[in-house]
Amino acid sequence: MSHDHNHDKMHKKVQERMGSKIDHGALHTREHQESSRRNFMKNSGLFAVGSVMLGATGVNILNPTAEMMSMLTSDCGDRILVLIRLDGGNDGLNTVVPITNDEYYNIRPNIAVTPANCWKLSNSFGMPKTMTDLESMWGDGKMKVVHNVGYPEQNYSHFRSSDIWASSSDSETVVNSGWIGRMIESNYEAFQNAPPTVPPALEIGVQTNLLFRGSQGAMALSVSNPTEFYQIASTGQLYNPTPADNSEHEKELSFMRTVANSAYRYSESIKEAYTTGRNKVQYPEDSYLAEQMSIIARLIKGKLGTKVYMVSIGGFDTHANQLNDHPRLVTQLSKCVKAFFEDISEAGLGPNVLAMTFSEFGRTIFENGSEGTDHGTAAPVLMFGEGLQGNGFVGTPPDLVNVDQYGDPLFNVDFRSVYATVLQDWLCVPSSTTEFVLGNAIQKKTGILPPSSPNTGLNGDDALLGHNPGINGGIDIKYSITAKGPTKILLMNQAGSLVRTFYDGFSESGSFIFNFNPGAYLIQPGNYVYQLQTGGRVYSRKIKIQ
Amino acid sequence: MAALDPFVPSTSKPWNAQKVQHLYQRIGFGASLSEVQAGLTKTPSQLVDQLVNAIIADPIPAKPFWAEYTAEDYQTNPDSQYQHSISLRRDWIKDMINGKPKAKLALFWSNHFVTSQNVYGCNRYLWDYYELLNKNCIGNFRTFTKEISKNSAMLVYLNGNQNIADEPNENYARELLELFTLGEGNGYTQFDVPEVARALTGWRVSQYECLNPYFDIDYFDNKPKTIFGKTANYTFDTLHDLIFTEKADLIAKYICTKLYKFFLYQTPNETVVNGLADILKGTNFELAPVLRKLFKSEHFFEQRFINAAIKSPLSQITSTARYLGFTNSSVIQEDYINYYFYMAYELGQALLDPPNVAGWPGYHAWINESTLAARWNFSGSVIYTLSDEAFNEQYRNLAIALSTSTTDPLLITQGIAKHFLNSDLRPEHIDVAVQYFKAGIPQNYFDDGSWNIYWNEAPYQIRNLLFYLTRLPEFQLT
Repeated sequence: MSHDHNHDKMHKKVQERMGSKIDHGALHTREHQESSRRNFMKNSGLFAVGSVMLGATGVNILNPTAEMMSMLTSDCGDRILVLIRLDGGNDGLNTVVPITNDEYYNIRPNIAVTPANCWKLSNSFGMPKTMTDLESMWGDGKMKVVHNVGYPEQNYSHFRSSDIWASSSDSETVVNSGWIGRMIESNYEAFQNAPPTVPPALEIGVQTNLLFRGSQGAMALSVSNPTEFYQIASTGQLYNPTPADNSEHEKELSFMRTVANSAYRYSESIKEAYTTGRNKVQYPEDSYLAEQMSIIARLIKGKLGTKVYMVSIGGFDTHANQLNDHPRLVTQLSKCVKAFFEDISEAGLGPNVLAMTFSEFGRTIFENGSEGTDHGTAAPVLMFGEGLQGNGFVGTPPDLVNVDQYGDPLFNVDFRSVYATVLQDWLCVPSSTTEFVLGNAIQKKTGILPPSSPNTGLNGDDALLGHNPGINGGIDIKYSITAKGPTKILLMNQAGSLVRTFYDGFSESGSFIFNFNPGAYLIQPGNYVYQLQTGGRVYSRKIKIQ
Repeated sequence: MAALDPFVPSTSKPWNAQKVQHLYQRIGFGASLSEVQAGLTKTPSQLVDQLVNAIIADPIPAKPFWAEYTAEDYQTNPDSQYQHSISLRRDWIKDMINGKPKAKLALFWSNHFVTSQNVYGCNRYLWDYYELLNKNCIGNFRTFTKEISKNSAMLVYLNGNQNIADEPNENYARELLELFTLGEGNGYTQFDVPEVARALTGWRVSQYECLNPYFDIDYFDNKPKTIFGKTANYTFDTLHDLIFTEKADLIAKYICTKLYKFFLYQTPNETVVNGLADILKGTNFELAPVLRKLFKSEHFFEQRFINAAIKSPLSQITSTARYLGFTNSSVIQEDYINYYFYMAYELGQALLDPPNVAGWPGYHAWINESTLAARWNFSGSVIYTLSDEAFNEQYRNLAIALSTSTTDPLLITQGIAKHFLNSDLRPEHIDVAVQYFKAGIPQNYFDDGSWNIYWNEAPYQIRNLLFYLTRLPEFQLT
C-alpha cells in the first residue's frame, strides 16, 4: 500500500466528517441570510416556545379548600418567588388609577384614564380596561396592590435607581450585590466551592441584573433558551477555576472558567425540568414577556427546585406618546400574569408561587408636553398569588397635592419593607437573616402576606450562615444570635478535636461577622470544621483552609 | 508620573509578539501574524504612533447612495431600507475583520453617545450618526459632544425633538449630564436638569418624514436659565461652553475613566486616569494625545493586563478572522458577514442598537452561562464561514510560520495555539488540543512519520483545532 493511496483514503474520510459540520453550518447560515432580523429572533427558539401547545393529557386537580390550602402553603420549602421587572419606570397613576381624584384628571388632561375606561378595584381605584385580564385575579383574592412604594432621596437615573432596587441600598450607598443574591449566599455558604445542583435563582434574558449578585459574584443562572443551552452545554468539559496568581489576567480567567463550569453544572437539571414541565394554556403571541413566563412555568411544573425567578418587560420609559405605549405594555403584563397563574394552577402549584412587579421608579404625576411623563418617584407594586389569601390595598396612595420640591408625591411604603415581608412571610427567612440580606433592620409591612408559621426558613434552624473570603483579606464567618448569651466560635479538625478558639464570651443578639486570618492563627492548610455554640446548641460547617 | 512613562523594553520586560498582539487587541481587534512580525521591528512608541496616525488618516467611510433618502424615497421599496441599514453594519464589521482600529474607536463612542436604530428608524439618521462617530472618534471630545447634541438620531432617540419652549422634555438634558459628560450625580443637581433642557430647546427634526434636523428659534426658550448656580439666557452653544468650562475637571476624569476601562481594564488606576485627564483637559479635550499616552505607557504593557479584558461579542466573533489575517478576506461571503452581525446580536451586542441609553455594560455582563454556551456554538459557525477552499494554502502557510516543525503535531498545535490565545497553551489542555489537531487521522501515520503539514488534510486539521481553541475560556479574553 503506497503512501499516496492511504493519503487519498484518509482524505475522503476526513472530508466526510467535515461535511457533516458544513451541512450543519450551512443550515444555520441559510436560515439567517434569508431571515429578517425579527424572523431571526423567532427562529432562534425563544420566541417559538410560548406559542407551542403540547398535547399531553391534563391531570385534574381538585380545587383545594381554604384549610387544604393553608396546609399546602405551610411548607416553605416549596415556595417560589417570581419577580417581574417593569423596565424603564412604570407610570403608577395610569396603572392603579385614582378614579375619583379630580386632581389626577386636572394635571393629566390628555393622558389620564377615565373612570369609564377602568374596571373597579374599589370605589376609589380602578385599573385600565386594557388590564382586564387581572380582574378575575383580583376578584378571586389572588392579587394585592401596595400603594406608593419608593425610597427616601429618590434617584432619577434609570441605572442607579435600578441598582438601588436590586441591591436594596440607601439612595446614597453603593452596594455591589443584590438582595436575592445575598439571600442565596446566606443559604449556600459554600456556593463557589460546592454549588448546588439546581440554580437557586434563574433569570430569563441576556443582560444580568445586579439583583442576583452575591458578594462573590452571580448566584443565579441566566438563560435565554434552556433547550439550546442544554445541547451546547452537554458537549463540554470542566475547568479548574483557581487562579494561579493575583494578577488581573488570572482573575478574569478564573471568572471565565467559573462561568463555564456553572454552564455545565445546571444543564442536566434544567433540561429535565424543561422537558417534564408542559405549558397547558395559550400565552399571548409576540410577547417577549410571555416567552419568559411560559419557560418559567415549564421549569416550575418540571419541579426544577429553583426558588426565585426574574423576568423583565421593557419600554416603560414613556417620555412621549404614552397613550399608545403604556396600554400596550400593561395589557401584555396582565395577559401574561393571568396565563402564567392558570398554567401553574392547572398542575396544582398555584399556592406555591408568589409574583410581584417592581420598577426603578414611578413617573411624574404631571403629563409633559409630549403626551408622556418623565422620571418620578414612587409607584405601586402589584402582587399576585393564592398565598396572598385575599385582595386588597396596602399603604396609602400618593397625595397629588402635597408634593416634594420637584413636584413629585412623597412615597409611603419603603421598598425594603416589601422585601422584608417577602423574605420572612413568603420565603420563611428568619428575621436575623433578613437583617444580613437587607443590610439593616427593616420592619416588614403588614397586610401583604399572612405571617409564615413556623418561622423557620431556608436555613432551617442554622444560625451559622457560612463563610466567605473577607473584603480586606482573611475569612469571614457569618452568624446570627437569636437570644443573647454565652457564645463560642471554635475551629476543630476533622476528627473533632479543638484546634483554635476564636471567640469565647457573651454575645448580644443580632447578626455578626467574625473575620480571621488563618496565617495569624498559625493554622495549617487543610480541611476543618468551625463551630458556633450558642443558646445551648451547636452549629457546624466545613471549611477548607488554603 | 511613573506609570504613564513610556514603556521601554528591557531584558526582564522584553518587546515580544505577545505585547505587540496585546496592543493590537486593545487598540483594535487583534493582529495577523504579518502585523505581529512587522510590529516587532518597531519600538513600542513607534508602533503606537503608526496605529494612531493610521486612525487619524483613515478617511470617513464613503457616503452610501442612500445617505439622504427620506421616508418617501423608501415608500416604493420598503425592503431596501433594511438592506441598506444592514449593509452599513456589514461594512463596519468588515473593517473590524480587516483590522482597522478606527472601527473599534467608533464602537466605543457608539456605546458612549448611545442611540438605537430601533427607535429612530430612519436610514438617513443612521448615516448621520455613523458619519459623526467616524468624524469625531479621535478628534475633539468637546466638539463631538456639541455635534451629538443636535444629531438627528440623538434628537429622536432622547426626545430632543419634543423638547420645546413651552413643553420642555428633559430626557436628553439628563443623559447629557448623567451619561455623556459628568457621570451620575456628579457635579449637577436635579434642578439643573430641566434648566439644561430649556437651553437645548429649538432643535427640531421631522422624524417620520426622515428629514434633516434644523433649528427653529420659535421653539427656543428665550428666557434666563439657572445652571450650576449661574443665571443667563443660555443657548445651545453657550450651554455647551458652560458645561465644558465649569466642569472641565469632572468631564476629563469621567471620559478618561471610561477610556481606561474600555481599552485596558475594568478597574481604573486612579493615578493613571488622573494623568490622562490632565492631558485631555490640557489639550482642550483632544482625544489623540490621551490615546497615545495610554497605549505607549509602561502601565499599559504590564504583564498582568495581557489577556485580562473580556472580549465583546463582536470582538469574539471577528477575532478568529483577524488572527488568521487572510490576504483575500474579501472571499468571505457577504451573507456570512451578516451572520456575524446576527451572532453578536444573539450574544447581546446588536451593533447600533444597544439595549438602553447607558449602552452595553460590558465586562462580566457579556458572560453568563447562556451567552458563554452560545459563544461555544457560534465559534464553530465562525470557523465554517472561514472554510472556503481559497483559504486552504493560507491556513497551511500560517501553521508553518507559527511552528518550528512541519512534522510534529504537538509543536504545530502549540505554535497555532500561542498565536490564537496570545499565550502558551496550558499543560492541562495540550493533550486534548493535539487530539483535535490530529482530527481523526489514525495514530500510525504520525508514529511512522508519514504525516506532515503538506498533507491535503492539514487545512481541515487546523480548522478542527480552532474549533477547540476558540471555545477555551482563554479565547474569551483579550
